[in-house]
Amino acid sequence: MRSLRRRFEVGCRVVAFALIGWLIGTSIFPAPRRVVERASSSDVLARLPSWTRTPSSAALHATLDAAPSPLGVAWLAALRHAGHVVTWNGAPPASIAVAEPVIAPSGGVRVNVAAPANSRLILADVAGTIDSTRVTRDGLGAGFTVPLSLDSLSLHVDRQPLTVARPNDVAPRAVLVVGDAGWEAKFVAGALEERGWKVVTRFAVAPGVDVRATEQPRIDTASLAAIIAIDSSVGTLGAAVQRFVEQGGGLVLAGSSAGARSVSALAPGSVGPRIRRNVAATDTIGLGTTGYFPVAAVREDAIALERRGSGVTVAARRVGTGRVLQVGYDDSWRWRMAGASGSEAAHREWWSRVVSSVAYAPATLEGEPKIFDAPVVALFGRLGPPRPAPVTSRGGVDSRLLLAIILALLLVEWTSRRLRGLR
Amino acid sequence: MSPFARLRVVRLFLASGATLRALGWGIVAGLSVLLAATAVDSYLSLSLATRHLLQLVAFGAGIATLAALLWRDRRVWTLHRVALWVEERDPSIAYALVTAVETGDSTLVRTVPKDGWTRTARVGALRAPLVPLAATAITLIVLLLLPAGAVARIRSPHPGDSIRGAVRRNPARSRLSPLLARIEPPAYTHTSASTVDDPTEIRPIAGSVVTFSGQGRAEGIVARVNAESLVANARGDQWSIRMVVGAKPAVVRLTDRSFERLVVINAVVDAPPIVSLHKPAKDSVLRVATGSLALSADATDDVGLTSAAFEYIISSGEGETFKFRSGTVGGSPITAPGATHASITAALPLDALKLVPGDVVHIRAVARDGNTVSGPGVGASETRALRVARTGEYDSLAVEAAAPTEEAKNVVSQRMLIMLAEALEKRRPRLARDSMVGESRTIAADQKRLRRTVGDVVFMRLGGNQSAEEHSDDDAQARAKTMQELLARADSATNRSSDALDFQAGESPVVAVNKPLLEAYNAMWDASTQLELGEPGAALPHMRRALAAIEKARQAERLYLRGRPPQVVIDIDKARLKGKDKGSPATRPPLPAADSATRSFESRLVRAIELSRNDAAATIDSLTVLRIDALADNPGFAATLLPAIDAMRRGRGADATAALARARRMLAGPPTVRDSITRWGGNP
Amino acid sequence: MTTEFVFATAQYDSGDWDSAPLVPANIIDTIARYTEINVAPTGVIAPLSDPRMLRYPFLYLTGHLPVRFSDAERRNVRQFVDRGGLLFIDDHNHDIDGVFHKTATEEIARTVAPLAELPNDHPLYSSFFKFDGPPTTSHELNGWGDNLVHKHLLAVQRRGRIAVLFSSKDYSSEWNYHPDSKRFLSVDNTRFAVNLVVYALTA
Repeated sequence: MRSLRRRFEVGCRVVAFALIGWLIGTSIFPAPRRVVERASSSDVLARLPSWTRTPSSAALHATLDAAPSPLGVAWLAALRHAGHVVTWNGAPPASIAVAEPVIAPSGGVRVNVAAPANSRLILADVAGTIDSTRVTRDGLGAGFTVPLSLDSLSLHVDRQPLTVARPNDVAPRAVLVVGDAGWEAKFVAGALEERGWKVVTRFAVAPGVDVRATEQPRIDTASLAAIIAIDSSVGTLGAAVQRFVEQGGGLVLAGSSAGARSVSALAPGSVGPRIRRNVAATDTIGLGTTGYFPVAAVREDAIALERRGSGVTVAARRVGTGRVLQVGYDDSWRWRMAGASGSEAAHREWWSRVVSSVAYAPATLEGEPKIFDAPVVALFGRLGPPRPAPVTSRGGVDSRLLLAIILALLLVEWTSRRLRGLR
Repeated sequence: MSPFARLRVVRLFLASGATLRALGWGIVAGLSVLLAATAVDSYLSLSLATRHLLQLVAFGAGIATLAALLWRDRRVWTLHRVALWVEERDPSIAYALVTAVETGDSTLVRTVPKDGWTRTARVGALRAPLVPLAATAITLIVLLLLPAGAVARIRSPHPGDSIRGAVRRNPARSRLSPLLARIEPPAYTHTSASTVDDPTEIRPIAGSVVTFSGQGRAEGIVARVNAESLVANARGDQWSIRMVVGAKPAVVRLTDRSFERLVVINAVVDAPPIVSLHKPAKDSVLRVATGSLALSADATDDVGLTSAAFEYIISSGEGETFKFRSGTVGGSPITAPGATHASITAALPLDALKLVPGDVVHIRAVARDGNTVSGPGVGASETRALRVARTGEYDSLAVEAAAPTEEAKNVVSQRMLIMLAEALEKRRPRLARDSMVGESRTIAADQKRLRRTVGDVVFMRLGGNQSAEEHSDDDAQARAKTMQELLARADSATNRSSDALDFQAGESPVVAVNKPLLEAYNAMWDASTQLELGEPGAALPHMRRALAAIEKARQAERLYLRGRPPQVVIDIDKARLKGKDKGSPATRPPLPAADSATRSFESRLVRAIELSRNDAAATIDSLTVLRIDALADNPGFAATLLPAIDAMRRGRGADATAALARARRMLAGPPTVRDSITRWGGNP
Repeated sequence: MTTEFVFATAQYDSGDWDSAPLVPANIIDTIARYTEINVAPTGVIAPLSDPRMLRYPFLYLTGHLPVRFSDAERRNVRQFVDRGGLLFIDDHNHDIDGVFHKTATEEIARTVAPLAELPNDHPLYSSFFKFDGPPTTSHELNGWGDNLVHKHLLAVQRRGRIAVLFSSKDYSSEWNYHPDSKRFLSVDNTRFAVNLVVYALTA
């Protein structure tokens, strides 16, 4: 009969060999271990190289308050493709930025950003910060018009960085200024020429007698970017104006010109009776100080861009692929001549912006730099929607412990046998 | 001598020795600093400011050493310590001396050696400064062995010595550093020449002579200013380039092989004087032009005035006929060299000007500076007008606008008729008789009308009532009689008779004054007769006679009233497009852009900012040249570039970025920001 | 305020600015006769010392007496020229050696820039009617003044357009008559004024 001691010795040996067998078995057939690697927005890019070296059993999870750069998103997508479980969660601000050139001789870039309400936007380029703003509560985003910028433009929507390339400058075509010879026509043409626009004039002086520029181009988008009508004499251009606008050309209807028969159908509204203002002898004259022709009966598809008191002074409308701007001011020249200090430059700048906002821009060519960025969209597109982090699975017993137990059991068994012999 | 007295003598010796030692070590410290500075300067060419500082450091080191040693040895002034010193050297005293000093009882000292410890003290005092003396001598010898120029640069640094120093330089090094600029202003400024060491920008007066110089041979060193190239001249072991400063800012580009250096010459233009007239303080009207008028004015100039005086112009006459006289008063040359302020006073004697009623005197103060480069600058004050009132001016209650008198109107009309008649006479060979007579009669009708108008004036004055000439046929005979009578009187009035005129009582002798008008009336009568006959050629002499007579009448009786001219309202609708000719305008040429310079500056600024990422030195040069080019067209932008250039020179990248951002805003304008998006993306 | 062309006569402190009172009406009449320019039926007087003179981009200045601008006048004239106005100055003495010419040219040089000869093929001379140069007046050789026929007008140009135009041809005398008297003329001697105004309104 085996004694208890002997049974104990046998039991130790059996357990030891069982553990050895377990170790051999787990090394041949390893049980899947679930490890979750975590990172945040600030260090996810730095962790990616080490993540790449982790076994594919490891789950990778990023907590993002800003979408990573395109490189980071592509890398994470590649890791998922390689077998990793890649998940992310967080609330990066949904934003998209688009850059387009300002159609003006002086160039410039317009950056429009769609961003959540109340988010803070900071625009910069390699030369430093350009400007910043906060999206209003009801606003869909914000816009920047930058006269001079370098290389690519970087934008921060809260902590979300976006990058757009600076689009190539577009040299605008000539603009045609049509009107009766008078101060408004003279100073509008002069202001645009001073700003670098190529201006073709057609000023009516007497029946059949016009003061014209050297060349009179055809009224089409191959020759002209915009037509500026100072008064109703734009009617002499006939149906060519409508064709021009529908092809993409721009039309500015100043003063009462929107009432001319050939353009009234294009105008954003009709021309209301002129609002006159009393100007005191000591008043400094600004834009609209002496009154304007209000845009009345604004069409449904038109937008009122500027109001003054109860009247609309500037309204805009798209016609075909072109744009029409109706400007109620008919004597902006008074602002230039008799305005406050700097009014000459302000008048010039204002008219250049008016024309630039409707000027025809040719279609973008192939090979243009990347002028839009939507990092959150790319994140969703490559990695899917946000998900909670996977649960970490329990890991197996440490093999070193098992080895120690095996050795201990064998030692106990051998010691017991030896001591038995000594007794 | 008591022990205490002897002790005091010992103290004196010991203190002297300690003081001399401290002084010696102080001198050694100062000289050592100078020596070290000279050594460093010979390799690094320290700036003037650094050398001044090192001078101070050397002096400070000497003083500090002296003070430290004196403080350390301060106990030599206490008797107690001196007594201990003596006790150390003479143990036989057995501390009696110290005890005596402490208790004040000299009797405790029983034995005092013959020499009273003074010999020991003397020897000690003489030994103490020996070491520092030797060190001073060694330092001085070393300094003397160094080149005199090198030591002088440290010993007495002054502007212009940056290129002195005989230490040989590596020929491969740039000869453009150190650089000296000597500025000699024009002689008229009475300012002495100045020197600038290592200049990056100098501001000389336009016309100054600037000489750049440096160490080394002159070959291969060139200066480029605008499109001009200047070659360096040799001057001993130095090179120099001489140029005259123009009125506009410029950048001098000095090149030595592959080395380049830019120096900005921001010329200061001598502005004309500014003159303020204090007396008379405002325009005025004088009833009588007598006495003298006090004049006073101040003139200031940025460089120096040479003369100041009062100028006056006297205008006499009225209407179309004026005479002018001018002169100066109170003029005096300003002899003090470089006088930038002058006050002048004078008295204008009105009697001497022989002013008559209606004259206007314009007075102003004028000052000139001594600018011999671009011509003397002339500054003038505001002008004051002094008018002498016309006779009767103060009697009238109101001055109302008067329409041109009949005489004045008639001059124009008569002249027109003459021109028409002349033109008709010229066309006579080409016209048929009927047409000729018809047109001649048209002119005759106008002449008649004109004659009637003159007649109204003439006969109103003669008879006091309206002329009834040719008003109706019924009473024409009666009126003609009356008129004939009047004509007879008029005839006799027009110097055909020497009989005295028979005037009724109260009648003013206006006829005598209106002789010319009567003459004109008669001449017109003759002219219209000829014109009726279709003979414009024969009518012309009579018409010209009438014109001359009207002119005479006009001048004899001037009725020129100053005031608001008559308002003639044109009936636009009636006149619209009634002209015979049609215009044919030429094409309108385009006008140049006003901001082409700005576009150029923008592209250059962009290139400079892009360059700043790789090459700071080249960026500094680009921005320097851009700043100078922008000074004339866009001084605000030019001013914003200076902080960027300075920050880049000092290696402060963040400051330079901020400064460049400000420069960009100043040049291109701030961005426009909208805090929302509308459906119309291209907002104006 | 209307958008018409208003003929403005410059009033300055130092001289007889109103020496040609009928010129405005005559020129207004001329403009109406040959063009369809919307012109006001009467002229206005614009004191140079008042900033309101900037409301009239075309100014006519004449006289016989010295021209000396006050500081306020100088300031306004400078601003007027900088902003694109056209100042037409005519020497009523037609005397290049006379005080009006000397003082006015000095004031213009000091206020704006020195005057230079305007070439006779300048667009001004073909802006409406064609002229080979400045038309001669009947007063240039009337025995008064300098008794010269002045071949050129003088001008200060800014950015390619005339800012100040100076005449020694005495257009002030030539045009200083009631418009009704035009009927006596075979050739309208005010036609050059049309060129002036059309140039001012279109250049």
